[in-house]
Amino acid sequence: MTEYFEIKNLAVGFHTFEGVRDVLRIESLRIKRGETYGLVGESGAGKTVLALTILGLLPKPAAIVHSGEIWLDGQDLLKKTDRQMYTQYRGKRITMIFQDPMSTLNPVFTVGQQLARVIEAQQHLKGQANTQKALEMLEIVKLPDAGRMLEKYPHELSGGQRQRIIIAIALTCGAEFLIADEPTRNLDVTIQAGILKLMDELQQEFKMSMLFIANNVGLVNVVCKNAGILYRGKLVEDGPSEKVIRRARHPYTQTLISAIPRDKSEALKFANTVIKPDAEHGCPYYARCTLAEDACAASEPMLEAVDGAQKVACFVAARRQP
Amino acid sequence: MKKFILRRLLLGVIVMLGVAFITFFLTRVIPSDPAAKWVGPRATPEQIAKATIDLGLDQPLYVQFFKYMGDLLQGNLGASLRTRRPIMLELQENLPATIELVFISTIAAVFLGIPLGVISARRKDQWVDHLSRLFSVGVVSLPTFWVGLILQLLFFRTLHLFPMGGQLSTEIKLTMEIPKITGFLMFDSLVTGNFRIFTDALWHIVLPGITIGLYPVGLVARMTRSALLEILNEDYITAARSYGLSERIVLWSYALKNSIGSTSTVVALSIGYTLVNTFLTESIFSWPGIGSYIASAVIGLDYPAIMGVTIFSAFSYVILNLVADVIIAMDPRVRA
Repeated sequence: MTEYFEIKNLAVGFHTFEGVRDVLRIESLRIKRGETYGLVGESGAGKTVLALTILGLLPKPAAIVHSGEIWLDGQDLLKKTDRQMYTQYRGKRITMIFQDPMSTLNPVFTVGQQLARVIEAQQHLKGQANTQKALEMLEIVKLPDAGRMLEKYPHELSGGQRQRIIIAIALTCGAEFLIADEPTRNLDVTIQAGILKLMDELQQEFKMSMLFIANNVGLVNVVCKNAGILYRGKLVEDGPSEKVIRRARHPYTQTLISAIPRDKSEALKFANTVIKPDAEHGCPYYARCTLAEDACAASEPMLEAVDGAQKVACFVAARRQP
Repeated sequence: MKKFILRRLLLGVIVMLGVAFITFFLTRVIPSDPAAKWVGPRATPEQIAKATIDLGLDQPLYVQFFKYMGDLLQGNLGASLRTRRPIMLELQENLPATIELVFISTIAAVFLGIPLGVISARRKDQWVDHLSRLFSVGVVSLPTFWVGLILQLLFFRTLHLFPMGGQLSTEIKLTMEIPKITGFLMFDSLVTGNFRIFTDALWHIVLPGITIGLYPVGLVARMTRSALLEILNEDYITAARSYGLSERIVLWSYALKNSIGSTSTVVALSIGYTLVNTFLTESIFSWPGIGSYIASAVIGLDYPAIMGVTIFSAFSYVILNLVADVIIAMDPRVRA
């Protein structure tokens, strides 16, 4: 029996000039219905690639899915054809909020035109009913003066306004599974808070399950029940977000958390220091890890349960039971 | 928007002044005596001397230039040295046939070139794309005169499918009254219900039309493809797909509208190019347009005619680019 949303042994690679490069290796990732799962990782870790893999929108033929299964409500998405993904999943059951509000809206169409297209495609509403729905959606995302907003082009709006519109468009689809790819990354801190609050409310209201992608550990703790840490395409730690953050096991997670400056007295730490050469077949974190042993260079650690629901992919951390 | 168009117009005027200046002085350094041409091959030296004074060629160059510019502003391009008729009139007679050709090639560029580019971008690196790229690079690099000759060889001489040249069959020209309303043969025959003339004209325009049209189709297809490839990588395209919008909307509306800037520029440029390209094609197909006209003008060193056609071509370029700029300005980001 699979979970509502579950990834099993997913491996994704990209063709490059030097041959195929693996960018994503996820052994297991589960999300319960109605739950928010936070995925944290630095840029380049493969978060967006994961999102596009779920939607079946990886660039072809550059990307290849080597193996794996992505289950949504009892169906393996990787077995679906592009046609099936289009007719049954994209926009209908799964939708996505992209990370950059500046580039996610089409610059040559008004907000109204872009909303109307999606409303027509997913709700099959036309004319007056369509406009009515668009106004309603803008009110849901708390954009004042909705009528005038519809006439505007994306470049006439602020980042926060755009992100609200992007959320409105994504919600218009009425999908049950939402992928939010760093929805607050390019926003001011004050606006971030508003957007997060909004998303949280909307998730409750629309009863959506969510994969919340972030490069900020702090956000995940607030928004998500469970969380995972992605490092160079590998899920290195997974579990209830409370535990993952308060009692981080993986040396990478620990560095990530300690990198958040707490007060002036604390010296800034840098998590991004390479201290030895990469281990080709070993742990992906080997080159930066201060705890690494010889075994870490020889083989890759798999996710192992350490404390109930908390799992970690690290030989050293797995040995140190609390 | 108004200010934008005015600024572009002003720029156009400057370009036109430059063109008039250059063509005037270039034609004056051609080693030929216009006065001798004017009076014909058997004229006496006295007649030539009189013609020199009549044509104002004895005056200093700058005086001639200002007189020329003054005439130009009144739409007077002077008289042909060979026929002694006003150049303006001769242009008007020859223009419609050329415009028909240019029109056909532009229609082809827009309605064949753009879809070809879109499909090619959508199916990047698949066989449709390879074929379309082979076609575009091929037709852009083939010289027009060669294409014209090969088409004549194949479709006229070997297959007997299409006529070799001219705008109408000789028997139709001799036996039927040719309608003249606008000067555009196909349009005039259609509105007057002369379907026999219309189909004959259509038959005749096929080969020169293909010869002229191949280059713009290839160029536009190639430019549309590369513009779209860039756009298809944009976030808003991936986003549109993730909302479950159909590939038809994503490609032909979301992506294509974003490429309108580069596409319309290249269409405008290719129209200008086509206009110049008619010079060769018309000579090959004995097409009675501007191209044939300038070819004989060059051979006869009829410099007022050469200048007239040059100025007309430059004028078309300026207008076409203005139109392209206005289309680009419909992009809301430019307008702001």
